[in-house]
Amino acid sequence: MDDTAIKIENLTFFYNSDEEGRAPEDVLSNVSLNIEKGSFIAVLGHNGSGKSTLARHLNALLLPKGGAVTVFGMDTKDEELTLEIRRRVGMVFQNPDNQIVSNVVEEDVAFAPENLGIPTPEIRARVDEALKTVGMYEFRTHAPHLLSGGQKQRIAIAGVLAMRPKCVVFDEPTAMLDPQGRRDVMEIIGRMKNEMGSTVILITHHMEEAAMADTVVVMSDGKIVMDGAPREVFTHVEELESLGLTVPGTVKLMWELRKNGVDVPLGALTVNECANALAAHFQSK
Amino acid sequence: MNEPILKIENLTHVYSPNTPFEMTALHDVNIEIRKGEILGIIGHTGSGKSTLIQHLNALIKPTSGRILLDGRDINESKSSIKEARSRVGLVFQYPEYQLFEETVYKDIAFGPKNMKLTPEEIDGRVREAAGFVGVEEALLERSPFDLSGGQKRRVAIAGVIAMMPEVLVLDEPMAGLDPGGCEEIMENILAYHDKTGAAVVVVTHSMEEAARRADRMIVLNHGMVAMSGTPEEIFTHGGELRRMGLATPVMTDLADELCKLGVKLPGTVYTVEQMAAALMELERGRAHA
Repeated sequence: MDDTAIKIENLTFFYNSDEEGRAPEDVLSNVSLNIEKGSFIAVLGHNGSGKSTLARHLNALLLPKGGAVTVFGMDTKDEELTLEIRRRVGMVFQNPDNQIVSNVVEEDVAFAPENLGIPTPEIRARVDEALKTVGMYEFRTHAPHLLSGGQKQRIAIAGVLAMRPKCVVFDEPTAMLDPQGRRDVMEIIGRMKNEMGSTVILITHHMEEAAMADTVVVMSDGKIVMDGAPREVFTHVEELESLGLTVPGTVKLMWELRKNGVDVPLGALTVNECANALAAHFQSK
Repeated sequence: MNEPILKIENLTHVYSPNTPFEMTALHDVNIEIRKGEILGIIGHTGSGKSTLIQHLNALIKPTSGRILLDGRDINESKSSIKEARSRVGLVFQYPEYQLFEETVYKDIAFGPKNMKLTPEEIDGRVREAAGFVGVEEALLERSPFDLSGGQKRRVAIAGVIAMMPEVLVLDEPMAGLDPGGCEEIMENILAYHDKTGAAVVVVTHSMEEAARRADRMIVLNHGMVAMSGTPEEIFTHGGELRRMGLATPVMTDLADELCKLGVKLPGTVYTVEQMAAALMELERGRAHA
């Protein structure tokens, strides 16, 4: 059986030249990446590095100018497969206000499955399940515009989950949320991966969120420049900083301490891990 | 302690009063903004932060209560409103969506033009403001729509800075920017603060930023001021902050965790620099033991 969810091969993309006829620059050049079924990938990169352009290739919102993107065995360039592809790969964007279409929560969540032509009882079941997954079931008859930003984002996620996609691409889903909203979204992502076996691709500027992924992909100027486990990628502190990025606060701390000759391990991705490593060091004789 | 430049007195704001949609966004809020300070405002989404800052230059009017600029009610007359608009500069969330002119220069010049300055004064203001935010001379004649996201944001901030406000208010100025971009925007804002002595009010969801930069913080919760104090004072109330949908900086969490494991650090720690310094102190103590 093929374990690949999405295969990106030598993907090149540019936006069409402007009115003045200036030659377009490559926004993505020769990007290759294999995303396994059930994996959780975080994509990091400075503004303008091509992250969102890459994301929009994963469900055929954009089509390659060179190379190919294959989604669950389907070439995104084949227009007859576009709907099939979008059924399997859902997208959640940054601004929840732009993703809400209805004035009742449950109707909003039902919007996508309705468009897929799914029978009504089945839609009811899917909507309830999706709302429970994001913890918004008791708000099902509320008006979305009166909810908080974090709650609206959870509704937007429920709308995507109701399509039962195999893969969900999150494009900076927490950028506009408060800390509680961020915690909620990250918890839902964790549950999608662990309990539902979904493939998750998370584009983010928050290093603490990226640290939770199986794999971190770092982009710069339209190319993939690093690709590995967070524990490995985040050891490249200076390189990441030169790319306009950073590392989780706990890693930065360990790096500062090591620079000053304190013998602690660099790879401390969570507060607990970091505390344990520091306690071990400072309590040793 | 500096004297206040803006005073918010018993401010209450009710949206859609006497309708089924009536909502009290702010309830009896009292805040002083002092000359030259950096004030961080934090609060969950829907806590009233944006409603609050729109009062600061009379974009919306209090249902009850007053906003005093140097002791004078800003909603007193047309001229007081006008004065507030030029002395208190407001940068909204995602301000780059409000760029509209043909060139970067014209966009930055829009505010000072409305202040009826001479063309020479306007030119000086535009170039100075562009300098504060690191927008190079060469970009001034470009279309703002050709710029990158981070550059657009800086142009939008320059448009407000060009009015030389004595209070610069920014709503989530770093949202959606990469870490390098966040750092640059913050440096730009601090450069304006240091050079002009303006008070800066930053609304943020980033506890790390608030902790690092603010002299003082205000925590809003359901339209009321729940806490105010230095970052050090605020972040000792971790449990309460979390109950309000907020958080403490990662380094404060780490200090708590270390404390549980028996490693005690002096005082409240909330930045990586402070934590590294505190641990280096411990390390030196060990070397002498």
